Amino acid sequence: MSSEPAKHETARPEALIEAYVVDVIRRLPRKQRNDVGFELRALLTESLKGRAADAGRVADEAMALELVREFGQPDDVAARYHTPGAPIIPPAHTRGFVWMTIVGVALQWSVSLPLAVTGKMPLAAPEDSRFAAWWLTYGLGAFWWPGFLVSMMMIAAAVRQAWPTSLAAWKPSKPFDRDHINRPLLGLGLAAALAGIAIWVLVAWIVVTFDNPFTRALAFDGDFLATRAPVLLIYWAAGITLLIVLIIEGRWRHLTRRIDLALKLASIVLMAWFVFGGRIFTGETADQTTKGALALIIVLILGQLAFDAWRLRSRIRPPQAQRG
Amino acid sequence: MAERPEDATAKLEQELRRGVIVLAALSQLRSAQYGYSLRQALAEQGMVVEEGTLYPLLRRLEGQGLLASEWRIEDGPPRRYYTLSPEGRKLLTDLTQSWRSLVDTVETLIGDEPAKRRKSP
Repeated sequence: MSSEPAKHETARPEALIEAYVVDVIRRLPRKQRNDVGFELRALLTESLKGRAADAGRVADEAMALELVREFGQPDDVAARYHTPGAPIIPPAHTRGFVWMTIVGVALQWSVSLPLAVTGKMPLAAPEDSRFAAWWLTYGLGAFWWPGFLVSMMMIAAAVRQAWPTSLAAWKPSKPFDRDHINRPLLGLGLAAALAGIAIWVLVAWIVVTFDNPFTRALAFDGDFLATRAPVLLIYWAAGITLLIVLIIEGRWRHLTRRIDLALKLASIVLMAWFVFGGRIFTGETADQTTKGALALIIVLILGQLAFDAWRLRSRIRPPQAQRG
Repeated sequence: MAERPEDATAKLEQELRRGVIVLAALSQLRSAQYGYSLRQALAEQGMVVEEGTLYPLLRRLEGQGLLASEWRIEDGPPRRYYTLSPEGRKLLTDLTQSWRSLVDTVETLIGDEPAKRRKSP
């Protein structure tokens, strides 16, 4: 009779240990579960007996709970049974990943939400439930982007795991010397620029010399030829001179970088003048098409200027000395 | 929020101990031990290792081929006994050499510090 209460008291802590072990092993690979579970349960039971003996009393549920809590969260314990693996998102990329995720989703929402709310985006919903309809379609749909990023990270992790040695050694990126100039490439650029100028001059000569529907469609506006075209020729001459100097010197210098920046800014001003300063061609189609192309080129040059500024910012700068 | 100095000390001490747990465990597995008896053996010699760290470690070392194990039924429930495999013995020799070299180096680096402390009032 006297042993009954003791049996009853020890049954509960063992059940608690059993529940804990089951919680751990269900996080392990199936083939490991039984073996690890059997061993872990035996070890924890033995530890509990040891604690009870040290405390001079019978083990109870509170003691068992304290033991398993000290042992660790089942997630952590299960992780310790695994050989440390390669993370899908390496720590060095975590910040970039979070930013790319936030920016990507925010961009999609910033475009789709105003269109949906103002009714410019077709949504099969009445006016007062456009937001809900947007959330269930484009709002939630924007989360394809983090999924895509994770998939790419998984592929990258698999590549790193498959070819660890070839990727382990650091290699310099191709244009690591930012002042180096690729002469053959710049030579091709010079040839292309000269060809472009030749085509412009040829077209202008054909248009002036021959009179037919084709040449009439491409006829330059008189005011353009008189005021803006000469400035364009000066700009071209300056640009080609810079290219020739760069090919001869083979490296960027501080001065040539400044001249290049000035020429890019000048090209933006010049093209904006062409777009907004009157007709370029007398024909409507040719004029509008050319102006559209010029507007696109302005955007591209602005993008390149922003990229150049970012590249200069990423250089290592000397720290500011602190006094005191 | 800045980490409290005592928290930082505890973390760094934990890292220091974590670095030698493998060597400590391997040193006691020249003869077969099961998890609980190994922990007791380590604790009796001043190396207290948390159970939650030690038991999974034994499995990982076995998975890496450094330990061999078998179930034994002696005076009590079935227990899984671990012992060094040939690879584990070689690793123990290598790690012991590395440890001694490291201790010598660190002793040289910090050797004067206890003497300085003893001198200070």
